[in-house]
Amino acid sequence: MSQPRPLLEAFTMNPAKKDLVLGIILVLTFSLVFLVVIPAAVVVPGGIKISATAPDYWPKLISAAIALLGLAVLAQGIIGIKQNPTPPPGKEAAGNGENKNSGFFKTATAIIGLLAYYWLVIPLGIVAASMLALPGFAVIYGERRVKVLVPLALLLPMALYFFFTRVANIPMPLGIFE
Amino acid sequence: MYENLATGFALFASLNNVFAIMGGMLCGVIVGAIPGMTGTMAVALALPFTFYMNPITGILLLVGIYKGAIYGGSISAILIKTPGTPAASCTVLDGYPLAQKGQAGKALHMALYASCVADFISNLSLIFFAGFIASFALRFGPPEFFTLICFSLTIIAGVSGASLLRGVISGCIGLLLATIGLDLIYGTGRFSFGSADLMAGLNFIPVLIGLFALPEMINAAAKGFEARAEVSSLGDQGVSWPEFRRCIKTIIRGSFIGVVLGAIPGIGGAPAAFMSYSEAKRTSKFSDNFGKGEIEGVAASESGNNGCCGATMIPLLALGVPGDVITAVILGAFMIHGLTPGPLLFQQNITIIYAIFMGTMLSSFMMFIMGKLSIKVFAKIADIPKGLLFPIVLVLCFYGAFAVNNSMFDVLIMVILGFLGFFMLRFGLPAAPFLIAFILGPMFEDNLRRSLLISKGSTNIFFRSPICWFFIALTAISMILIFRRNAGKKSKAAQ
Repeated sequence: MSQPRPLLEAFTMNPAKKDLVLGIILVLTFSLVFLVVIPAAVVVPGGIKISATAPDYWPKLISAAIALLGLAVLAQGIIGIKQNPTPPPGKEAAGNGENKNSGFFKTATAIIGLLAYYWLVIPLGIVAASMLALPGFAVIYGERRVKVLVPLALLLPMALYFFFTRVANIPMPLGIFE
Repeated sequence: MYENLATGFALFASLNNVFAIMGGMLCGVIVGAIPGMTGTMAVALALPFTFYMNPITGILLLVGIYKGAIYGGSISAILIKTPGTPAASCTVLDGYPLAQKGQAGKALHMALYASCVADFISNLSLIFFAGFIASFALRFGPPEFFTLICFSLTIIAGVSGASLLRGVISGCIGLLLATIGLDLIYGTGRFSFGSADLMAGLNFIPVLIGLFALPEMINAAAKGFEARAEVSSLGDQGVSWPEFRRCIKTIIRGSFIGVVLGAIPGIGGAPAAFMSYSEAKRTSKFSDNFGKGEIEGVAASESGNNGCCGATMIPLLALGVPGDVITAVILGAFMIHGLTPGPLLFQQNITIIYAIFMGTMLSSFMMFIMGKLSIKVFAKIADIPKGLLFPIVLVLCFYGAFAVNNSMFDVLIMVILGFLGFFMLRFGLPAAPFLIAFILGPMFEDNLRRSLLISKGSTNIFFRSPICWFFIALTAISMILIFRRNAGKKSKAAQ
């Protein structure tokens, strides 16, 4: 029976492939930063006599350095692939394709969960959003004991709220509980 | 002099002062251990309570909170890979791997012992060498700072792990992100895109939490846990005498690195911790274990960051110049009580100075007692299954990130840096160089530009003083050693 193909190769890339992908990402991203983002996003006043003191000098220098270092990583990756055309899989490749797919889905769920938690704080408040996020993430991590999760989800966000607002005097957004 | 000492002792020797140090230390440890809460926040919150206290009691309370917070940051760094303070971020490198191996107790105890010894040495330096170190610190101008930070950035090599290339890339990304905000010389926006939040730059607390805590949690989702897996409890794990003896040299060296860097205004505990760690790794017989749970790594980082504690008071007391944000708040406490730190304080209020010195010496012993107590309490965290612990820490991170500036922007930064940290984790880019560069980058750039403005563009300014030459030589030696070590590793791998 053939194994399901992993959906995202980042979970199974060998070191040379990782170097290749990382190198490409770094070169493209930081070339874009150098050529487009910095001229658009860094305000340079007129009349600067010493170019090294200009506000855009240092960001340009760093982004150029990263792009060049990215080329080095890319070169490393290409050399690695040429030396080993059929290399051994990376360490994440242990296990079958089904495990790799489920790992990818759980990771994607965790990332979406983080974004959802952030977005829910604004309308619901930090207490209510945390009451949803805590059991949600616990389920992602495999915790299933309702008798533990429900009291924890209710009590911890409230306890933290009281600590920050009453003890530390730091206001927290209550949202729907206001 | 003996009369002044006796008067100082009489001023210090009261139960109020002892309780102030004890209470301050306990509050500081708790605050320092909570991600998002900083010693600065705790000291600022406690400041109004000192209005009605005796000046010595009030100042010792704040000093207790400060020192407790510096030590407390190591607790969460070791147990949940979320440094409570920036200075504890280096402790994560070996403290957390030790906790993962079921040796959290050993790591916590070593952090405590290293912190107490370093704090004691720092207090002695404050008392005996305040004048000398203060006059040395006064000789630092922009070129001297620049060359010092150049040397400090070579620490990146020590914490880059297996790949120096990836470590440098990570450091450069940290340098670039540190440029976000208003340009300090011309006041123009850099990467702010018209946003008032971005004009203030990225706060390092959300960056710290996002970079260290969140990637671990995202990565853990893929691996999954046995929900009820037994986590190794701390049991009676401590540090044996042979283990402590092995680390004594590292602790003493780290303490003095902390003293020197702490006495220079604006440097802070994090660079001292990383520099101490880097030196320990370079000279240790067990350098290959660093980053994988080496107890000497914990000792090095904690001694570096606690070595700063007493030393940051040196420029404050001797010159009236606060060494960092916390000592700036403590300066406020002095002024509230009608005391003006500086040379005149030593002439007009020497008995108060002696009383404060005695209190700071006692604080090292209090740190030991409070630390032992807090280990027993916080150690229960090691017993919580990861399936529950990670969501709890996540909620705490969200509260903590929001608490920094009462702003959802900081929470957003934490989440975005979490994704960046996960990408870095997946592609083997280490987080520690990013953090060092993020902290040191602004100082590096500002001092470079200030120096060039002073010298009207001439680079000769960077060779103007023996201090500059000293740090340039150290940087050159450090880089030669780095390349030799790298070349040695590559030839071993080829064989």
